[in-house]
Amino acid sequence: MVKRTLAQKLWNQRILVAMALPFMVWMLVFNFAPLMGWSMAFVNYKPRYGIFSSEWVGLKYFAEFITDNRFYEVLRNTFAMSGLNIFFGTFSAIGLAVLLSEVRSTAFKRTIQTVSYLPHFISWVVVSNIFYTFLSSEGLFNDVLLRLGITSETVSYMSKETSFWGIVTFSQVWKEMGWNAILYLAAITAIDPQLYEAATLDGVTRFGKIRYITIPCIMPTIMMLLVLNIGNLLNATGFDPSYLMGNDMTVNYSENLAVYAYTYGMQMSRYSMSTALSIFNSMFSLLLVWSANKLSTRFIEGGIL
Amino acid sequence: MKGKLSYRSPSERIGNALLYAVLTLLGVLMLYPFWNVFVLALNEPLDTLRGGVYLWPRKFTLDNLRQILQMRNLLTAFINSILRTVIGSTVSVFCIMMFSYCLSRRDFVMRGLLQRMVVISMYISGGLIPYYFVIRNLGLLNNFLVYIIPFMLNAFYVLVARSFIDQLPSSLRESAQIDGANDLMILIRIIIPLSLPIVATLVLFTAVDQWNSWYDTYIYTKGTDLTTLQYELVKVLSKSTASIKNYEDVQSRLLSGGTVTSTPQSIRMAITVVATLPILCVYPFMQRYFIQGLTLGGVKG
Repeated sequence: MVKRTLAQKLWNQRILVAMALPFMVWMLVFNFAPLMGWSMAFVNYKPRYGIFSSEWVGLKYFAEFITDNRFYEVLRNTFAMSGLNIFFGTFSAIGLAVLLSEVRSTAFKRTIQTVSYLPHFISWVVVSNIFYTFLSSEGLFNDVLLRLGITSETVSYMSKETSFWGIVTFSQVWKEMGWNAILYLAAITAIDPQLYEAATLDGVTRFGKIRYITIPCIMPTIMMLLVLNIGNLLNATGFDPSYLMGNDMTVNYSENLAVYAYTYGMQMSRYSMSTALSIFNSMFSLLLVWSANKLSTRFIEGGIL
Repeated sequence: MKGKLSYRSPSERIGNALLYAVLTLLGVLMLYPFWNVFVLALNEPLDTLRGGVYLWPRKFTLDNLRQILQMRNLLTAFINSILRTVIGSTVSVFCIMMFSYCLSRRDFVMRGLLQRMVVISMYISGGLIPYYFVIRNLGLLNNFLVYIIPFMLNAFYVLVARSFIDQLPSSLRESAQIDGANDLMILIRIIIPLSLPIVATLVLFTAVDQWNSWYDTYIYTKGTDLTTLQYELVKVLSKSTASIKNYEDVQSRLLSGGTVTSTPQSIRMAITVVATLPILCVYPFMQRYFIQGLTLGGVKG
C-alpha cells in the first residue's frame, strides 16, 4: 500500500469534508471564538477602543471579586443549590425507577411514566409561574396548611429568603425526577431475571431483592451519573431557576454564579468583570470535571471522558 | 404449580397497594399543577382572587383567553415562537444528523480533530459577554436568524445521534458506495431513513428547546418585532412579582371605583396555557422514541 499524503486523503473524501467543514467553522465561531474574548477580562474594556487598545490591567478584576464578600455569598448559594439538587435529584430518581420496576401492570406503569416526564418538557418560565401561584399567600399551599391547622397565618413563601433553597430544590426534583429515572429504569430492565427467580426460590422478600439485587446491579450507573453531576456542580442549577424564581427579597439566597455574571455584564455593563467571572466558572468547572474523571476511573473502567 | 405462583401473601398485597398508592400520588403531584393552571385560566378573574379555585372553574369564562388574543404583542410572539420552533428544529435536526454521520465514519480523515472539538466545546464555554460579542459581530442582534444559527449544533445531541448511527451495519454504506452513491446521498437515502427513532428524538428535543427559550429574546433582541411567547410570559411574571401585592393592587383599584376585567394573575395563567398546550399535546406520542434514543447513547454522552 502506497502511503498517501494528507492532501490526497482529503481529496478522496472531498464530499465528506465538504459536509463537515461548515460545522467545523460553526464550532470555531460559536465555541472557540468566545474563548478569545477572555482577553477582555485582563483589560479595562471600553467598547470604543476595542480589546487591544483598552488599558491592560492584568488580574485586577479577579482580585476584585475574590476580595468581595458578595462573591462568597454567591458561591455558597451556587454550591448549596447544586449540591441539594444533585443529592435529592439522584435519590428521588432512583426511588421512582425502583418503584416503577416493581409495577406489574404495563398500562399503569406507562401512564405514570408519561405523566412524570411532563414537567421536564415545560420551560422554567412556566414552572416558576406555577410555583409563584401555588406558594403565594392566597395560594393552595397556604390554604392547605391553614385548613390542617399546621400554621395559623399565611406566609408568602416566595418572598422569604430562608425558604428559597428548599423551593428551588423541590422544583428541580419535581421537574426532572421522571426524566432522570429513565436511565436508572433502563439499567434495572437490563438485570438478568434469573437473579430474581433464584432469589424467589430462596425465599427472599421483595425488599430483600431490591436491597441485594436491584441496587447493587445498578450501582455502576448510579456512580457514573453521580460523577458526571459532580463535574457539573457549578452549573447544576442554571441561570433560569435562580433568576426566574428569585426576586429582590430573596436575592441573598437566590443569586448564583450565572446570575451574578449576568448582573455584572448585562445590567451594569461591566464587561471585563463579567468575563473574569465566566473564566473563573469555566476553569473551576474544568477542575471539577477532571477530578470527577479521576474519581470515576476507580469505579468505572475507562472513565467518563 | 400455576396456582402456587399466582398466590399472593397478605404482606405482598399490602405492599402492592402501597406501591400503587405512592405512584398514583406522584402522578397527581406531577399533573395537578397543570390542571390548576387550566382551571384558573378559565375562571373569572375577580372570582379567582377570592381564592379556593382548585378542581373546577367556579365561574367559567373564556374572557382571559379572549383578552390575551387581543394583545398585539402576543400574536407576534405566538407567530415568532412557532416560526422559530418549526424552522429552527428542522435546520438543527438536519445539521446534527449530517455532522453525526461525518463523525461516525471511522475512515474519515478529520474525525479525530472534529471529535476533540465537540468534546472540548462541552466542557469549556466562553461565557455570557464574550458570546454576546460574537453574536453582535456576526450581525445577529435584532435578527430572526439569532434563533436559528446558534442552535444548529448541540454537542450532546451530536454524541447521542452519532452513537445511534454507529450501531447501523457499515455494510449498508459500503454496498451503496460500491453502487456509486456519494456521502450526501448515503446520508439522505440510507442513514436518515434508518435512523427514524433518533430523528424523532432530535425533533422533539430541538423543538422543545426552541419553544421554551426566552433568554435569547431577552438579551439579543430589542423592541417587540422578535418577541416570543415565553419571553412575554417572563415579562408578565416579573411584572406581577415585582409587587407581590397584586392582590392589594386590585383591591385598591376596586375601592376607588374602577372596573377590573382582568388581573395579572389570570392573564398569566392564560398565557401559561398557550405556552404549555402544544408540548402537552405532542410529547406523549414521542415517548417510545426518546426513551430508545436516550438509553442507547445518552449514558456515554
